[in-house]
Amino acid sequence: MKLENEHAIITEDLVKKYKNVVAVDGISLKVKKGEVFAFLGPNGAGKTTTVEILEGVRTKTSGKAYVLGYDIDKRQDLEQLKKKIGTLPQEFNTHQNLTVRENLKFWSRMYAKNLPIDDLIALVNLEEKAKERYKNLSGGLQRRLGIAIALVNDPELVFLDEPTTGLDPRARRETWAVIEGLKQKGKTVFLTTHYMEEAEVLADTVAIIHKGKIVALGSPAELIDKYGSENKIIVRGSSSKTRDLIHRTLFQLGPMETAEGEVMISTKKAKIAEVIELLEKEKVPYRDIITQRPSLEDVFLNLTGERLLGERGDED
Amino acid sequence: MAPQKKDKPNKDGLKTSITMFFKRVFGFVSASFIDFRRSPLTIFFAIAYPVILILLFGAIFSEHTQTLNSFTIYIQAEPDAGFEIAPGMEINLTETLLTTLATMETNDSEPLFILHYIPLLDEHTIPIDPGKYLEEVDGYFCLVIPANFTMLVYNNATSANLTVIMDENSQSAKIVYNIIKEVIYGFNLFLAGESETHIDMETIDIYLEEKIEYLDFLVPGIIGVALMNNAVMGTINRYSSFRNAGLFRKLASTPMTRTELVTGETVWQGFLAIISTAAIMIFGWLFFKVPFGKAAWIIEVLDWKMIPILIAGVLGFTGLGMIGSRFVKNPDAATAAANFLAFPMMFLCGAFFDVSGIAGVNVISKLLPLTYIIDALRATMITKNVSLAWYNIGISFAFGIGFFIIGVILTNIKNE
Amino acid sequence: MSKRRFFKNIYLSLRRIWAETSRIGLGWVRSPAAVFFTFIYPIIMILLFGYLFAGEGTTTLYSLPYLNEDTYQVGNATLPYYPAQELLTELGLNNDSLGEALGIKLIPVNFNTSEILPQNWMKEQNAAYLLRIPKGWSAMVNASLLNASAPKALVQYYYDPGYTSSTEVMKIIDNALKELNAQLFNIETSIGIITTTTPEREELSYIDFYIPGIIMVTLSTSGMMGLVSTVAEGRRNGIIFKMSATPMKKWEWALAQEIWQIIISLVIALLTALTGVIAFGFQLSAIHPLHVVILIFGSMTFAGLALIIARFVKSPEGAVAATLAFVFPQMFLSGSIIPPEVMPEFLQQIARIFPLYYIAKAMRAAMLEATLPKVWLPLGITIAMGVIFFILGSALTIWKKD
Ligand SMILES: Nc1ncnc2c1ncn2[C@@H]1O[C@H](COP(=O)(O)OP(=O)(O)OP(=O)(O)O)[C@@H](O)[C@H]1O
Ligand SMILES: [Mg+2]
Repeated sequence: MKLENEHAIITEDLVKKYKNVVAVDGISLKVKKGEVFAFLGPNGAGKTTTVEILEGVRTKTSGKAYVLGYDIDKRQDLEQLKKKIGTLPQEFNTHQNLTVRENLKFWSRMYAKNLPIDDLIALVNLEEKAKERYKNLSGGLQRRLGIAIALVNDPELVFLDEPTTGLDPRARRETWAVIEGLKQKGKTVFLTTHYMEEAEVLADTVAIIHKGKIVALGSPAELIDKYGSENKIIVRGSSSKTRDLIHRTLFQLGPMETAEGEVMISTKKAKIAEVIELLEKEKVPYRDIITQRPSLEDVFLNLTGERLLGERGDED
Repeated sequence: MAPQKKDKPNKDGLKTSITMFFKRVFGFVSASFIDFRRSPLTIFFAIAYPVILILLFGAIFSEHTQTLNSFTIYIQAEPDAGFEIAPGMEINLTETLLTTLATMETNDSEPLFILHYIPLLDEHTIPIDPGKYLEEVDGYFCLVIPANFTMLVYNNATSANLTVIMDENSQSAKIVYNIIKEVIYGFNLFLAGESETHIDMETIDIYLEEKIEYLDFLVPGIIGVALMNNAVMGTINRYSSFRNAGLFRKLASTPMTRTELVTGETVWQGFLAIISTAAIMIFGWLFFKVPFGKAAWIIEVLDWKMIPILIAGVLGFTGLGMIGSRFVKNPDAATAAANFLAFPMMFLCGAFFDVSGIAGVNVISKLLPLTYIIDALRATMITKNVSLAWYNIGISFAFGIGFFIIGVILTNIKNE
Repeated sequence: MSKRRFFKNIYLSLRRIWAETSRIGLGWVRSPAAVFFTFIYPIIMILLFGYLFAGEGTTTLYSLPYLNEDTYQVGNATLPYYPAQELLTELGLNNDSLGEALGIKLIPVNFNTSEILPQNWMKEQNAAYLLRIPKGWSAMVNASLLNASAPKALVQYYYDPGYTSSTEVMKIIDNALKELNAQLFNIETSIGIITTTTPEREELSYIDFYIPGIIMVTLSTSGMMGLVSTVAEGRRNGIIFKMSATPMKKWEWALAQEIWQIIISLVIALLTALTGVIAFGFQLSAIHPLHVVILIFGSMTFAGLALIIARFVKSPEGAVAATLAFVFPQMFLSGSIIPPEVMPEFLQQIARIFPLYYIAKAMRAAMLEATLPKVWLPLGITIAMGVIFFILGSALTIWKKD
């Protein structure tokens, strides 16, 4: 039985327990058809576990889940569901001694419905490597093949578990383009990522998951609005006189912090243009002025008190 | 003053570097130990596999279990009217023969033969062919005694013949045939009026004092096999997975030197050798010695010369493993490959039964180092043949050191 | 369900099975190491066991050192015998073909037994056995010829019990002595023995019975090792789980594995049989069509078993260990390599727990017309095992992550 619904995925209080940990701790969410849904969280948050439960690859402890209207607890529903989804596992692997094309052919044969293999190869820019064996591809190219394999059956819903981890910036942008393309075609994409930027760029809805629980849910803009810090406007002056002047002139904008040679204004209201205008008007000398906009990183930091990734440098 | 100043830091430097050497070697060995407890394959080859071998071959070939067998044989005997050799003295050889066979006993006083009689005619009074009958009942040995056998024997100038129908593919049939031959030989002697043979053989066990049993032969063989399996497979598997995991590169960036790495590996293999040897001896002893009242065995076989043999074996096979690991990329494939090669080796080196009489194989076995290690162990533990032991220990060491050096040279951690 | 959809589903199912089987084949062909081992392993096995256990293709020839201390002079007028010489002749001295037939090669040795005991000489020389004809032996034999109650004339056989062949050599000498005894003392063989082989086996030799057994041993060993590690590897690299997210069903996947095992089994069997033909003169006429059936269900049995083992032992390493722990005892106890009847009774009972026991039995029974009626029970068991283990294997395969 299939429930017709505007939602591609509905979960109710999904739980997955292991001996020592509760990997997924009561997740309820709804993914609209045709949207890109991003699951954002640090290592061990429970992203992969959730995704694999939804794919029917992993058993769950309790809770309900309907994917494309199919109840994943029902064997026959699951069989139907599997025809309509595409998956890219986090640790994607395929047959080592088969070429790119042969691998695509292999996975195509699993399904009744197939996309032309050449189109898939073109989609992920692997034309030159089509005859290369999988084991001889670089890690990034292997992952791209993985995305193509996730699409062999022209799925309605695609699960991409960390599709861009380990890709170089260019390949990442190309992958983003592929995902955008899927969205354009009306597919639903469920993606997990560590990268704020990725979620901000691609996702219509972001769920922030931490220790098996969803701690925030909404569009990137909403989340930033709700949980993000204020904009920060930093004026880098040179003298203490300048700093005093700024304190006097701009106090109404918001709380300020003064550090060595600079002043940081946290504000929700002001834009940088206004600040510059003010400073010019008051003839306050300054060397440089910059802004920092809040990001999902800040959202995460504010929600959990932890940084998402150990080091920010990892993000690019 | 000056030389003293110069001396002191040198001495200290030497001391610290020795300490560091042991520290790092110890680090390696203890890491291996932790790894061991988590690695089913290493445990398997170090303990389970040799124990399976000792129990399996011990049970199949041990004297204690061997002699208990009885043989089922089929007899088709035509009627025999007997023969009067002297007035009132009738003889019936068919009967005598059958009684003789029926009363023969195994070592533990069970009947040696279980006799089944094949009828002469079937229900339609058609003669039964004993050969076909034997095949149908899946027997392997049938003795056909002709009609009036006694008369035939006494009246005939030529010999009277018994017919044996046997399945030549059956080992049992051959054994039975030999026994029957002996019995008939006895009959012939008797008929010729001789009570026994005039020429015979005295057999002398040159290791009579040691009372060698099959297990004594087997234990050193399996210790040798375990040494080989542990060291060759363990080293190949570990080194190739080290390489896969980039661990060599990592080690190269630490102060760990090649000598330390290799020493660590060898010390570890030495531990494994001791564990395996102990497991083999204890299980062999528990199952095949203690139940037969030979509890002292385990002490009797211990000999300090086992130590140099184990060392030679560990060096050689670890070296061989290091050489092997140069040529394999995938550790799983390496294990399979090593196992496939090690398997025939066990047989060719005479670990389970001696191959000295098998042409071709005995030549190959002399080329394989395992042969010498097993022979050294046998001479040391079982036959206590000191000169033979040292001869084989010498060869084992030559091979051990040779392979080890080649292995060390080939292990170039910097270039991995 | 409409008829069309029904057939469409069957078609899709077959397509998936074919995709998996053909990709295994393609991967195999492209991995030189895999191909090499698939071929080299059965060849090694057949040669090894053919030579070692079946004693084919090579003559077993034990070197028997002898020390003749008997300086009896030829030319005693009354008794022109020189029994020591005759005994040695009986054992094949200067007659290589007789020696080969007996299985020994005499090697003269010379040392002084008053200086060194034969035992010690053997230990020094690492000799396995020694035949010693003591001083005055021939004279003693001749004395018996004149006087029936003269003491027995004894030769001495020294042996190292560490050599399992020492009993065989002993038997050879014993037989020669009996022959000589009969000759010298004119003991008529009043009773002779004629041996014939069971009628149908006449044309087949031992090796013909042996090779099919070895083929099954090889298949079960390499097949199980291969499949267990493939599954463990597939689980480790996640491809199995990725498959489980596609419409491929568990049984389809298991069936694809089994089909591959059957294909490779047929290839291996053919190869082993040909090696047998070349090395040992194996007669292909010994093969019965039923053998192919046994082979197919046999390899299904082992593939199913492999899937069951893979279910319980998850790491590739542990899987290899568990498989070896099963395969090794099976190899020796199931009666394919070592004839079951030489094993003690309790082991023959234990052997019955191994599938190979029944499969090997069926293989043997199918070789002869006479035993053919006996094939049905083991064949039935083999087929049943093939089906049951396949079902169990595919049912137990872990198709979902925990
Ligand atoms: N098979 C398992 N047995 C025990 N614990 C598990 C198992 N699989 C996952 N876990 C635990 O469940 C938790 C969630 O794991 P999961 O793989 O879902 O995290 P993730 O969000 O995908 O992390 P990452 O970003 O590193 O991929 C972790 O604590 C992990 O250790
Ligand atoms: Mg994950």
